[in-house]
Amino acid sequence: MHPSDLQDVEITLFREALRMRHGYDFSGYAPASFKRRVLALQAAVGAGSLTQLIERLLHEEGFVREVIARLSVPVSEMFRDPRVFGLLRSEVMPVLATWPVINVWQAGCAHGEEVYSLAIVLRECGLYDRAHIFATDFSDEALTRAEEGIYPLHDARTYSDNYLKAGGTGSLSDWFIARYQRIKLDESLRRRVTFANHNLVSDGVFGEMQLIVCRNVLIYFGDELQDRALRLFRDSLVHGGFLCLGSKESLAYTAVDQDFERLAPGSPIYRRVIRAP
Amino acid sequence: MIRSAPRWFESLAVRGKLGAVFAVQLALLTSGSVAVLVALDRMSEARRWTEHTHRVIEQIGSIQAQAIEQQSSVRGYVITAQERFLEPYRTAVVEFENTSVRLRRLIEDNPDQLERFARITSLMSEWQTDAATQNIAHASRPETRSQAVESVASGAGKRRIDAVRKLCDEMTRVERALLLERAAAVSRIERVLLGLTVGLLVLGWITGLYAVALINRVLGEPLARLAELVPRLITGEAVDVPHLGRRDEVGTLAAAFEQLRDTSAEQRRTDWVREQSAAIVGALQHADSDGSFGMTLLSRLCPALEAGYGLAYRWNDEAAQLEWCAAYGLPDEAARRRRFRLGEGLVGQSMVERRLIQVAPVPDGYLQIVSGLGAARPAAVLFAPLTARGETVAVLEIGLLREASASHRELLEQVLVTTGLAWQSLSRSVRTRELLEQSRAMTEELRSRQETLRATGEELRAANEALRSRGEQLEEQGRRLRVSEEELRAQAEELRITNSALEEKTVALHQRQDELEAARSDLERKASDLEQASRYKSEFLANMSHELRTPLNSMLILSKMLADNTEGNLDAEQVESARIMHDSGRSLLNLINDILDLSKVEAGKMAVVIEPVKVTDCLQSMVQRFRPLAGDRGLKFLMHVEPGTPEILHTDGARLVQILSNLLSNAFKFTHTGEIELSAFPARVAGAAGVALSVRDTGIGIPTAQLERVFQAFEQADSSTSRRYGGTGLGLSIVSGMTALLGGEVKARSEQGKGSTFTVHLPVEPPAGAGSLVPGTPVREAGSFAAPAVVLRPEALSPPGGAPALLIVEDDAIFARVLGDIAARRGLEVVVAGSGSEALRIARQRRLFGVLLDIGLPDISGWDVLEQLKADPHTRDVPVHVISGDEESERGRALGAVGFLQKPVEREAVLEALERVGAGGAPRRRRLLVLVSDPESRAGILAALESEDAEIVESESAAQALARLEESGFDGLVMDPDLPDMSDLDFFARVSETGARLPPVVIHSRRDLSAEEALRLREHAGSIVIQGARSSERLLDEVHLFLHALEKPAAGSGAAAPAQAGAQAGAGALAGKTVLVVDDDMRNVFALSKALRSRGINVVMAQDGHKALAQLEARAEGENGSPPIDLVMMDVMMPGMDGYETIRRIRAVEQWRRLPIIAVTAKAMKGDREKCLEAGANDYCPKPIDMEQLISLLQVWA
Amino acid sequence: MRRRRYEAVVIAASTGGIEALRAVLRAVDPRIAAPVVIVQHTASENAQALCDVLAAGSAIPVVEAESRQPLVNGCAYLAPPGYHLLVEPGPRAALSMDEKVCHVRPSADVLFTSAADVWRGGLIGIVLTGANEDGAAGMAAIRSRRGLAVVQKPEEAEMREMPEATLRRAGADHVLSLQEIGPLLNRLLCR
Repeated sequence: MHPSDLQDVEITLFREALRMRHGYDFSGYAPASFKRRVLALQAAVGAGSLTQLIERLLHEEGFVREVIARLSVPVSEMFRDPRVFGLLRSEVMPVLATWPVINVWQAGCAHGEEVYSLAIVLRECGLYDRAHIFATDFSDEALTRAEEGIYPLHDARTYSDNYLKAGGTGSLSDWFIARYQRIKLDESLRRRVTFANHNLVSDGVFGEMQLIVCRNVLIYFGDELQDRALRLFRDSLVHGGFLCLGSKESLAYTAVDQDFERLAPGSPIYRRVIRAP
Repeated sequence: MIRSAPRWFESLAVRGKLGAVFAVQLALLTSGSVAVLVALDRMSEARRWTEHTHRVIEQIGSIQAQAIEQQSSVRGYVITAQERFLEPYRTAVVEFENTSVRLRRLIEDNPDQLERFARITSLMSEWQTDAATQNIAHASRPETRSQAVESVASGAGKRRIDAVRKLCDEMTRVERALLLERAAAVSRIERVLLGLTVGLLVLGWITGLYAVALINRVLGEPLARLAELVPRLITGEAVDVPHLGRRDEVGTLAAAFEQLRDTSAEQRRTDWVREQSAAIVGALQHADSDGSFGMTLLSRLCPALEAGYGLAYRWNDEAAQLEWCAAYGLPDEAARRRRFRLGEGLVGQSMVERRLIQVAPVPDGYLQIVSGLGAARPAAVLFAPLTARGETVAVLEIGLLREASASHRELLEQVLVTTGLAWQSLSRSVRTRELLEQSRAMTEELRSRQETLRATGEELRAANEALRSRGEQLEEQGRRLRVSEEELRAQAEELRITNSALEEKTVALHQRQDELEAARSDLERKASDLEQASRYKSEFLANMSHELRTPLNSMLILSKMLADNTEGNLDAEQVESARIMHDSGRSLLNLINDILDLSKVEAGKMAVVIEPVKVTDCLQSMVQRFRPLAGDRGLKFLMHVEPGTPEILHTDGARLVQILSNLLSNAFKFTHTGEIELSAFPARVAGAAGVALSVRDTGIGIPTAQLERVFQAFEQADSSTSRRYGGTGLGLSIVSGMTALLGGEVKARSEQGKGSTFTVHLPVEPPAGAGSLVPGTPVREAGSFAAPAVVLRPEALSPPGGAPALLIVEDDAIFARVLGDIAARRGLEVVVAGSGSEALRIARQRRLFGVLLDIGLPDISGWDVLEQLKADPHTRDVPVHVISGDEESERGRALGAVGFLQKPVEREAVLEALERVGAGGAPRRRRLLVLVSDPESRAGILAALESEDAEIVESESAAQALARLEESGFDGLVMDPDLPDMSDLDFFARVSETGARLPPVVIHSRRDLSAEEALRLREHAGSIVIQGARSSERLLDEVHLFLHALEKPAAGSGAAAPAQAGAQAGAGALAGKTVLVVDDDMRNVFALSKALRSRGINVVMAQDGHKALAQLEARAEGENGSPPIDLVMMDVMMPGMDGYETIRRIRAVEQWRRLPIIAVTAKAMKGDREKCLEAGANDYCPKPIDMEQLISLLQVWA
Repeated sequence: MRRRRYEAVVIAASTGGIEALRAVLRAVDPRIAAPVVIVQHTASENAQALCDVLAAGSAIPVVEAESRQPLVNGCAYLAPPGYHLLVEPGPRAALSMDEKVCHVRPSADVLFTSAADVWRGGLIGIVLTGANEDGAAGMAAIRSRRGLAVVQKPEEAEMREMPEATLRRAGADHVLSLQEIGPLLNRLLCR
């Protein structure tokens, strides 16, 4: 049997172990990228083979936290795809201003880069004080890292570049202090943010939302899981609420295609619309 | 004739000449005329004198006559003494006076005459005085007359008159003599005059001729000669002009000619110069480099200047020296290399002085002008600096054969300036071309370098990142190396252990499987012999159930209407009882349905419609439907599709759904904890490919002994279970019957206390026989056992073609009246027919807008009526809604019915049917109430809602709005929270008091609302819009949403299902309790509070942890008389303090240690339920909340 | 041994790749019975511009690979900048934002290994000019599945490191010049 096929078998067993032991169900994930992430996990923890991972997963206390941390998507950037943030600022914020209370849900917040970006945009549009931002991810490790809001200085340069391209009115440096090769984001940005564990695979609607941001997460989901997540977003959004996806993601050919209309051609931002029967 | 005119004459100006000549002529002419004039004068003088003399003569005559007249008249008088003679005397005296005055004036110049005249006058006067007057006097008197006669006779007077006469004659004679003299003078003058004129004439001719000749010679010739010069001048010849010296016009003309000659020469020269320089400049245009420029310049200039040779030195700014750049006619190469610094040599000098230097006598040592025939020293060498805008561009050295002529110089000057400029602009353009060349080359090179730069940049980036990370890796590798050696050894050991454990497990698995196989086979045997027994039973049941259904039908609708309490005349108790009646009716109905299904299955009457069914979708909808129930029961509900299961099943979708829902509801009924898994995996059924759908639960399980009988109807494991779990016990038997119908089979596996698994094996392709009706006797419609139907007398036929009516075709009079009542209340015209034929008759006479058609009719079947209605052209497009006891919607739709209702019918269903039939023609136009006090923002709202097709009613104050709401119903209300005369809370309270139905509400606020206000308003309003740039767009969206009566999305999922009928036994026990609902999702809060309040439970709301604690503290001491909290429903995911933390905070207070708390969470992960319990919650309820399950939880804990 | 029929082509290129790819795509026969999946290292954000450049003069259409897009014969798919491109059963494209491999994303190793898992022996891997070792490990995976390995002649490539690294790490069935690659593909893939 080809070693790579053997790996597939091991990965299936690993997935079953993860589900039965800890309740994390990865069966709906896109197979190719999930395999890569498991192999990356194996390399990271230095397990000789995937079966070793299974053994540690079942018996070693606390190992699941690291497994989930590595399997969830860590790579993220502040103001990624500046053009999209520009659209958020110019087209979405003015409409959000018409709600007395603005609930924003950022699903798959990873290390929190995009949560703080949203907070900055809300602050600069004067809507922060009546907004609640729910930053959710199914990895507790990611949530703790997000809550700290500390990022390597090396990346700050690309972040402030993105910020300006996204139509930032001030300078990104207003929002962080830099020390020992790291930057720490301003405490006040966290005031209206709630970091909570929520798993798109299994959990349900937890609140009524005006804006949902979920970027570069759905590309890792298989078709059924993507539809489940999108139905979850649809049922959370108020009528006329906004959904912002990654620049290479779209609602075409999905189960909720009829319930949304695209804000502008080519842009990954959609608006919840209820059609007459 | 006259050779040379006198010098002075020649120099006279033409005018002078002419003047002189003509002067002579004039002089002659004038002297002549003078002479003539003198003569004439003399003649006129003479004539005057003659005339004078004549006049004197005349006067003398008249004097004479007058004197005689006087004399005669006196005499006459004297003689005749008649007065008439005196008259002439007097006139004569007067005339005599006048004439003597005139005469005196005339002869004043002639003394003798004067003297003579004086004598005359004295004589006369004497006469008069002494003769005349005396005589007259004497004559006048008769007496003295004689005296007068005598005087006269004495002739005294006569002597005087004769003297006068003599004197007069003397004077006349003298005068005549004068006359003759004058005549002689005149004739002399005439002779002189004649002579004079003839002389003049001759002299005039002579001088005229002389003048002509003179003029001709003086003017004519020179002018002619000058005139002849003109053409030669024009051709440019250098002629010398004659007559220059003369000072007269000719002289000036000559001077002018000369000048003309010079200027034309000058002109020619300048023309030549200009032409030359133009030619040069023209030629220079084509030069594209310094060398060629110099060359063409010299090659054009030198011939023009008739130069022998020419040299051009270009000024080189950088080197600050003049460099040779071109030569013309140079004999040898020697001079070419010369470079001149500023001021060095003549060339440099001319440059410094910036002016033309000419070396006339060329010193020797200068270059010879060489030609084939010989060589000559240049007569002059010219150094000409070419300047442009002040700086010298180049210097030309030209060797001339002869000295430069003026025009040459001028040409040179001219050329210097223009070529200087041209050369400079040329060199500048050459310069720019070079620069352009350079820059293009540079950009080319830049781009290529940029290209390579980007590529290398890419690699650099990659390379330095590689470096950076390799550094990190090395450092980390060192560390890990040491650790991994240890781990490696430990792992090897562990690996061995896990392998052996795995082997053991697989062996145990095989054993279990064999056991199951054996149990299954004997079970099959038993099942078949029971089969036959139940078939007859179901036959009876099928018929009996119809009978029950019809009366139940009416009872259901009436109880519903009572429960709705539309008239409001029932008190809470009666409403409650009506509702219970309605609910119990419904459960009875379910029982009958189940029986009917079972009996149909067993009687083989069940119709089966084969259609492709997508397995995953079917499972998905199951999950969707039962997830809330799983949530309520706190059970884990999983779905698993084994890879490789066939995608599509050809079977009866509806039946499959019924089978699965029965299995699932049983599973949920018998399972308290753990999980339920619905999965599909590939299987072999009767040899063909198939799908196995299994429902596994961890419920109470079924003892193996009773496992076989479980599929029998009316047989539950033991009677206690039915009491405890309710349900008809028919579910499983229905499942097995239907599965058989679909060509599949059902298997059950269960372990008591551990759980059971029911698996339905279905073939992908239905076997030929499956689904075919077992030819049982078709069960007659309810009609066959028709209770004595009270034939309702058809109402008086309203005139044909009256207002369009709704035709109800129903033989069951009671049900017909019920339908008619519902339709009438909606203000519709109704007509009822009791039989098919009657229905057709009415349809032909009356215009109908809709038909409610029952199938079970006494004479002809409903289907026939429907067919005929559809066949008849003018009732074809009338919408028909079929109501029937039997389940044949397919057939109805096929025949064109717009809808199908199965008896017994819910009231809502009837309303929906009416809606479907389009009661009253076009759907009613939507009505919208806008309650906004501020006129300006109201106008804004109206403008925003303009595009919505709805009738908009405005009102300023709450009172006005209340009145409107009572008057008539509205489909929507747009409201500003800040009302002038009432707070929004009071307004809503007042609305509910008046019992007017509150339509869906949208709040439109001009100011920002706080979170509390938003919460309070959200209780009544579907959504809130804050005025802003994009608010009108959203307002229109929200209004459009509820105007078209769309069910709100939020209501469905997140919030609890609205008050579900069903198991409500014991709800009464909760009435009066107080529940604190803590949740930030407003949709949940309101749905929940509405449901709880409808059960008499008092609800307190809080939006987050802090507010919840505040509410608890406020109510702990029973402040302001509010009842204490009996139970808390705590949402987990909330902003700020989450549910866990709040529960911990509550549990920390001693007083609330026992307070029941139910955690409500959207998280359905494995550990979540434990987390709630650990935090201190008593129990756990998943979102979306299922009311039924919630009530049961409340009962447990409240 | 059944005649080995190849079903797909994957190509990796870095510095100087644009010219190389244009040369190959020009020579390819539009009727080839295989999708061509390309990873080209580039710093630009605008994928459409890169597609247009490659499409001009190419015999087959060149599009930017989108998530879940089925990979069709006779069409070239380009990895969008900033995303790893993988092949998942279908066969169809899948995107991912995982960490950089060989310090670059999209990486050829990721594409090659995932493509090898799907097309196994029916895969042709081509490594063109480039200045890093991305693609070497990927080619090893292809060859381990007995797919066909083609490498551009290092001496002819604008940057020799990438082809040489692949030759060192995985070896190659053909070491060709740019002009020979197109005809080879036509021979192997056109019926």
